[in-house]
Amino acid sequence: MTRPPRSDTDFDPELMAYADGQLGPEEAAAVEARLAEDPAARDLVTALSLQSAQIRAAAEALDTAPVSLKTAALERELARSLAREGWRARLAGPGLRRIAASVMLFAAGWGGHMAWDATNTPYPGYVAEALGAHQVFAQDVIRPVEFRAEATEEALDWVAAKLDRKLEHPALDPLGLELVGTRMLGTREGPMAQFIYEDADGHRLSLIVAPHPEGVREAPLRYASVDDLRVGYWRDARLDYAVMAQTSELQIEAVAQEVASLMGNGS
Amino acid sequence: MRLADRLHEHVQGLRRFALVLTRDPTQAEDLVQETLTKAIAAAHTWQPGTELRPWLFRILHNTHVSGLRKAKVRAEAAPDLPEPVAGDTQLASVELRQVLEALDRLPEAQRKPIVLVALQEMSYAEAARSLDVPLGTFMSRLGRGRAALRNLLGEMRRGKLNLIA
Repeated sequence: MTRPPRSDTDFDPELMAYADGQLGPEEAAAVEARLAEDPAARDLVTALSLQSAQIRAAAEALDTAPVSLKTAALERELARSLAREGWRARLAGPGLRRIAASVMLFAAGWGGHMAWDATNTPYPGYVAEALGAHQVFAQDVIRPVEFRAEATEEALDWVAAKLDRKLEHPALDPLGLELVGTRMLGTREGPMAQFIYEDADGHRLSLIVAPHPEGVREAPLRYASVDDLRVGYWRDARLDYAVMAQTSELQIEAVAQEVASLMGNGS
Repeated sequence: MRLADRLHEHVQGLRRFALVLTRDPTQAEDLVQETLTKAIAAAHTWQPGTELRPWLFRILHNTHVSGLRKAKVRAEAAPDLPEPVAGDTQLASVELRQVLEALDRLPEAQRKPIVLVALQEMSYAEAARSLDVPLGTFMSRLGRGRAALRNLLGEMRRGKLNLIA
């Protein structure tokens, strides 16, 4: 097989960059001036653009299969993992406004941070995980939960088995928050349960519950706010908790108190 | 755009890239799933605020390369088996089939830059990062690959190579 000798034009990086839309307006204008004078250059640019267009068309023509459920599930799992990294960075960032704990739900001090993340955020690792889960699932209108509210008893059994902790039904109806449903999460920090609630206006709130190793000290309610999202988090003798929504500190506090009084009696 | 939406677009991009590389829907879906599984395990290596796309495509590229290596080992271990027939791409258009056939004849190192630039509208710098090569290397592979592709397509259309009979 013999090949026609290659001309220098074949390797012209400027023409290639032009055909690929890689040039800024000034560079592109310079190339266009050149193309007006040079038919061989014009042919090359046309051929290169056609190559790419045909590859795109071929990819589109091959892409006919329906989206696999497994791929979709992996995609959501990855979205949550990446959201967690985003929150971790934001929680560690200098722009963060930390709000002093105004209400001490528990007497114990904030001391034994053995489960804290190694990346130097002043927050327990599960807080970033919780925010990631809230960002991806609570905002998901199509399928935010694994167990709908009607199946809460079943969900609690499932969660209790996974977390190895018995849980009370975290009903927040007295606060005007209706349970949308429940989801189990496998995270870098271990298993977590996410309960998603909705108020009358459709605003969503997440409650995250995660077990911690025995002997970790209890911690009082603390707040953090990142962008327009506010999170309250605390720890009792059995579990770590986080509550988050786009709302006031006051509302987070009310929810945290309700959850603490419901769950605190569950042991 | 929300993270989940951006990611969804990128995953569609990964699938199309994988489809052109493998020309087999099942293999392409497997490659995408393996890529996502690795990305989940490696999520802590992504720096928030940096581009997600090159990070993802790099994982796909590495997964694909190690898959090819394994396939080669398998092929060498079983030399008597006939070569598997390349997946029937069922493309109606002769021209599109020709493009895929011609791409298949290029070395892997040239094929990927061409497909990536065509499909992803990435900057050359991003595409080079996705394939884990220096920008200069990327540019020269892209340039040589496209010249070779152009020659191959020219020969096919002049009937010198009869690949689609």
